[in-house]
Amino acid sequence: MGADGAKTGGLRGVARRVTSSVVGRAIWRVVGPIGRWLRSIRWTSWAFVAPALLLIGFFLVYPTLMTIFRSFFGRSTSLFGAPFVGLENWKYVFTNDVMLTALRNNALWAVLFTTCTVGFGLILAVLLDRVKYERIVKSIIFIPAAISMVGASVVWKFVYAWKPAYIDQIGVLNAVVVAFGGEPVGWLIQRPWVNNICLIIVGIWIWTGFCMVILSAAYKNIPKALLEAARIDGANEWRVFRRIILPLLAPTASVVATTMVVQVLKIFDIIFVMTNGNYSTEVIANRMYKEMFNFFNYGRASAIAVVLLILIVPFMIINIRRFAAQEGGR
Amino acid sequence: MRQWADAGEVVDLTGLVDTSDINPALVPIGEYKDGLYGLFIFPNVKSLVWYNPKEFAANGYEVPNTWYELQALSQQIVADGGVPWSIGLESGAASGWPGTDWIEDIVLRTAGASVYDKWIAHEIPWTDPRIKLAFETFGKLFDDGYVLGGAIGALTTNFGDAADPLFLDPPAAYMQKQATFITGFITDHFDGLVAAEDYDVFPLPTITPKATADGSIPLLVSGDVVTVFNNRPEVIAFAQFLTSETAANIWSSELGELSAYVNADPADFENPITRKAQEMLLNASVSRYDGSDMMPAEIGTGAFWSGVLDYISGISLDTVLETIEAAAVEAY
Repeated sequence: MGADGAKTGGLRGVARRVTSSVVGRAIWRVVGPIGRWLRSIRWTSWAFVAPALLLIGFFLVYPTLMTIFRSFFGRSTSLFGAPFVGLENWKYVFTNDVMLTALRNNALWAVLFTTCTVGFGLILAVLLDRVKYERIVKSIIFIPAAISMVGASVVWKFVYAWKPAYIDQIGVLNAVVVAFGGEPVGWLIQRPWVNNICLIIVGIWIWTGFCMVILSAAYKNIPKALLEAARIDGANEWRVFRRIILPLLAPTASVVATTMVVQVLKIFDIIFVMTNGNYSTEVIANRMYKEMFNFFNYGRASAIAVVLLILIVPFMIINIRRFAAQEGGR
Repeated sequence: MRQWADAGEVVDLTGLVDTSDINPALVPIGEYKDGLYGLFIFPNVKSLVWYNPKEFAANGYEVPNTWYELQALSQQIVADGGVPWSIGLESGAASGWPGTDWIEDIVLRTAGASVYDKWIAHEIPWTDPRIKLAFETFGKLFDDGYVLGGAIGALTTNFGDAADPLFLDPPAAYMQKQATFITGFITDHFDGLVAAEDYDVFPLPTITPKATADGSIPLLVSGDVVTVFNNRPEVIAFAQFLTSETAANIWSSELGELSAYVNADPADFENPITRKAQEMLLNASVSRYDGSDMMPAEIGTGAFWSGVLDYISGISLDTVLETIEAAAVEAY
């Protein structure tokens, strides 16, 4: 090409002339940083995570966004073609009587169910540790957690069953009441507190075993030397429990409690099978089911679903923060 | 069906299917806004009161022909120490529907068929005094103590078990209002019962004779309606076949169900109760389809069902009707 062939010859020469020209330098100012950024990405890591991200994106993130989007639309018999109604569905969720009853009931469940399952789980975990037949009792208490919620609800429906006083009672509870000389009670009909508490008892029966097993594992992790030292120093059992065991179990207990609260916010099977939300026992998830599948009001069902999501978010944040702190502490 | 017709999903069958083979009283049920969208082919009669004829004979009770006679019979049963009615409202996720059948039958018998039609189309509100009267008439059965177990008994008894007290020894109740399909439950729970001897039916009597033009008993029916989604020749031909005599015969003779065929001969039915129901179907001058099935789902399977349960469990009637009305205003 030219006199000094090594530098100006062939393709390399062309490339050098292009890149060192004014236009070439300008282009390189843009492409350079991009290229460095592209090189700094750890492609192999992303390649491993990508399939999971795609699945979560498609099956979780996209439906969530679509649900939020759909909550601003009205009802129609087909999935699309619903009119835009703005905040009307949201107004319904927070002002309609049935929805307010549902929100109240979920709050009742959150308070009673969580304190009782975690509380009983804790007490059982600590007490059973001192007993010889611990394994058998723990298995028996854990069995309800292994059966389906629907199965448990059907069983308890029979426990609460009512027959007129002059016929033999088929429900265990009413049989006991009648045996002691009382009148049979419509346990699932009495509103507003009796039937709700009866339903919550079913939930507690199912989930206490779960809490107990996890808290028991955490309890056994407490070094026995600590407890012995405290006892030798003169602390009585209650002091040992309050000052040593509880604080050491607190992280596990809060994780269990968070799990229980998330359970309670989406509780559905028990109410659906036993009362279907009648007699003031309605809950949010049952309402969402009815709006969606019985009334075909996708907009309202979406609004209720988003409310459920918003209620759960704080507990998810607590959980994630705790998890990050644990990971950070390693 | 109506919601689908509004959305344009079902085919208008006027001119495509010849309905001359269907019982004329049943044809209008498939009509909506000047179009024929459904063929009511598999009917079920709901206005039936089931009773134990042997017990009636043993106690000297007679089948009542008017509501007044029915109330007198109830008083007689109570005076003899028994309980007249067994009502079962529980039905899992569908609890409350037998109560809605009661109220629809009462509306037909007190206010008449045209008011019934207006009620279902929400042209009159739920708080209308005539609808309120129907609810109160139903509630009065509980107030008078005519129902087995009272409100709690009705609310906790499953509809399939509600006929059982009639056949116990001694019977715990004497009458139950339910549709023809309860036969299966009765024969399941008790062995060796013979139709028309051990269990029989009479139509729920008229309350206000002027409710129908000729004073006859209005009939509440339900059943399966055939709609067509795809306007294709083979689909239309099959729909036409379902209305024909051949199909009706298969349906009634092999399955023992009621026939919507206009010339169905009741004598073809072996089961005397089915025969009676078929005669009612053929001779009824006024028949209407189950209301809660005709209303939009939020009312028909939602507010109306839970409204009945709320009313029977003690909530004030005005509150209940206002709640249903508020839901209806949005749903229609």
